[in-house]
Amino acid sequence: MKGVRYRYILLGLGLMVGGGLFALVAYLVIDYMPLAALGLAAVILGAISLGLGRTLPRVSVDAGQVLMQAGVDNVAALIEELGLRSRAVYLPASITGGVARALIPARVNPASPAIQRHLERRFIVHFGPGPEDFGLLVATPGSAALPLLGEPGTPSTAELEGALSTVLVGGLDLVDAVRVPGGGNTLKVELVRPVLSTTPHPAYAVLGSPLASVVATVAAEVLGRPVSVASENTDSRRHIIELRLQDEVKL
Amino acid sequence: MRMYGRYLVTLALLFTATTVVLAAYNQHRIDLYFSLYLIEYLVTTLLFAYLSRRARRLLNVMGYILFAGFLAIVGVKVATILLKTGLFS
Repeated sequence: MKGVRYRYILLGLGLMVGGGLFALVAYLVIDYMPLAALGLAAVILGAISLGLGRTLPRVSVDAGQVLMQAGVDNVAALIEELGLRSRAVYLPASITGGVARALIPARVNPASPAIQRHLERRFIVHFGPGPEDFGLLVATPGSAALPLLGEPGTPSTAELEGALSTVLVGGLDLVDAVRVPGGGNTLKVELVRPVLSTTPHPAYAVLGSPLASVVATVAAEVLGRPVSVASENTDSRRHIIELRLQDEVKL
Repeated sequence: MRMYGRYLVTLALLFTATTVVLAAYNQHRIDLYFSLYLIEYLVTTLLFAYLSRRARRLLNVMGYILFAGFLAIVGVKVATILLKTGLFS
């Protein structure tokens, strides 16, 4: 990523110096304004490139993936040891004490877990009325990405599309575009040209891939409802994630 | 980063196209070129709505600087017109 930063900065400096000299020569020597204006345009572009180069993240996507790997491996080991099979439910921060987390119910239940209380900020939590309503409350890649979102507006699919674009396109630069067609209790999220590889991992069966995790966390936060990843499909250009929305939690 | 590339290429294409079109119409006023560059910059920045917060902050500052340049051009024009009318002579 350092190389890319320097590339933008070098391009910026080159355009500013080259464009400035070109504009001066065109203005003072040739006395031809269109060429002087072209030099001025190069100076403006150079200044923008120089500035943008300085705002680039210092860590590349690949480096981020390597750093995340240990965390994912640990979650996979835990899931395997405890024999957890249920799909994780991504919860909005309002339910989990200020930090968005995913709940992995201990008991396999075809129906969605009924969350009837604010969950404590602990690793093992009791989320329902029954004695068997226990689960693990874990942080996910989406939890760490949420600060990029800012304040979510009114819950709607259009708002969700905007929020996902802010996080995945602008903030993390992981995909080229995000589309959320339709609505209802099952949402399809289409990610165009993702850069993160989705090599199968045991943790993904429960949590979903890192991209799905970010999408589900943002969806839970924007829509204010628990969300789980129903399925994921990848083709050459797109990564399609199907989210299942649960009823709003009334506490 | 891919978005930054697209943003810069879009601006470069727009600036070049503007220069070529205005040169074809034999326009030699640098203030006209600058004003159009400024408008294109503002519109493109607005359309790239999902740039990161840091980039957006920087581009806002850049917009203020360009707008200050535009105001300076307008100021010079106004002063020239006022001087020509003989208001201050």
